[in-house]
Amino acid sequence: MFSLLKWNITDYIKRNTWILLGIAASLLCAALPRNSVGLLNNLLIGLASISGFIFFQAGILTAFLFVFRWAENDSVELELSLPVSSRKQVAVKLLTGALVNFLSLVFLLQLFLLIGRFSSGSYQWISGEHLKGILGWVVFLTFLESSVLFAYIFSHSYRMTRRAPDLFTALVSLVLIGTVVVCTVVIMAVTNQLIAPTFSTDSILTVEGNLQVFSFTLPNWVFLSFILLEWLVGSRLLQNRFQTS
Amino acid sequence: MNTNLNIFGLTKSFGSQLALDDVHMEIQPGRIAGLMGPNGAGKTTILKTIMQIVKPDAGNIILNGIPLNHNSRQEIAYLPDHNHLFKWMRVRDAIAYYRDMFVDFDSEKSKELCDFLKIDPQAHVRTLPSGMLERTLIMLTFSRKAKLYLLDEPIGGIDPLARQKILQTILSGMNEDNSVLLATHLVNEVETILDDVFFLDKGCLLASDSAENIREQRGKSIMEYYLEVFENV
Repeated sequence: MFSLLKWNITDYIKRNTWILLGIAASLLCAALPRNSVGLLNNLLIGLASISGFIFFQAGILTAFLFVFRWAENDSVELELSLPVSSRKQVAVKLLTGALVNFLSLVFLLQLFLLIGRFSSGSYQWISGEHLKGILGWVVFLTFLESSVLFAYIFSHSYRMTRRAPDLFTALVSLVLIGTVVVCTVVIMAVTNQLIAPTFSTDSILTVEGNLQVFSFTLPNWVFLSFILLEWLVGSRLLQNRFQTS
Repeated sequence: MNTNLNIFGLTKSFGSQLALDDVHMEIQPGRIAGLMGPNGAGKTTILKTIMQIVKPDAGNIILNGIPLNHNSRQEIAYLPDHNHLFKWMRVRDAIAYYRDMFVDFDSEKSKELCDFLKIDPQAHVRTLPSGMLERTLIMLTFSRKAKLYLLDEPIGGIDPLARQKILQTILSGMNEDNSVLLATHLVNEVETILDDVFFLDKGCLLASDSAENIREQRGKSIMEYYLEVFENV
């Protein structure tokens, strides 16, 4: 399992080295200026902000594509011929996606903290408190990836859905994600747990900030339950019915 | 005699197209079996079904007395008809991948085969010419101590020297416990190394026999027998 995870992470890194280089460059641009005075300093800060946001999105998007489009690569025959259970195969894809999401969020937060030092006056590093807000996001993004991966496996597992796999992947994902999110919001509203997001400029991605909806326990448990369910059913389909040709 | 691989009533269709129609096969240990037929005969589908990449509509496959499951893949070394390695890999990465993923991978054997086949471990997989790529895939496949080797067109589109080296590698990898199922339409080129042949067309098994029987009892070469069988289709 760890070897499989190691090679999946290596595969992601080798395919997306440009994102890692971009992230490093963005952090460097944000760390270099001593203050926000002068054209060069402002240019670097602006560049760090724009490129940081682009590379953050690229990280989330490539994690998403990595999780469900692996079966469209030529290497799928190598991966499917490994003596590894389908449960481990699916779990490792989701874990890799979750790890990339986590690192993308940590990167964005650290970038904000680096840029934020010009208003606060001191360097800040990510703390455990910041990570609380991130974990809820990682669970949510992994739920999205898990749902699309499940829909992809499902659409390649039945004769009827194999005729238009892309269409069925999109349909099943939308229905699944829409239903779960709407039900979660309704349950939270009924149980008085839903609080409208408050937009704050100084504590983005923290428990108190505008992403606090993901710091509640209920949605995280719902998303985790669905990740588990999709993993179990998806692995079974991958083992017994899935085929790409 | 014990059988290494048994296939019973294997049937598979893709949509309305029948790819395999009630195929029965048996391969014994220590034998090299040729699965032969024109393009589209169903050769690749049989190999992919044994690897569980394609799921059969009906039929059973038994490997060493046990129905196939994901653990069976540990006993099967598969060489597909195209480059299935990750494109970013160098040859040395592919060796490390196989070493990590297959417990029967023999690193020493891989070094010997790299020397014999003149493979540069530093070379990028995506830039390898087709002959060298085929050598690399053969090296990876036969560095494993598998019970069954599935080779899909291992000598297609490559020069005579590479072909000769690949056939020598296949022969050197044989022992009394393992067997090879080699799918190809290049009958002449592999004729000398085969022990058994299976002729397949449009998903149907047309004929099967041992090379010895074909030569001694029928008085024909495998190529002549192949032409006779397929002319009558």
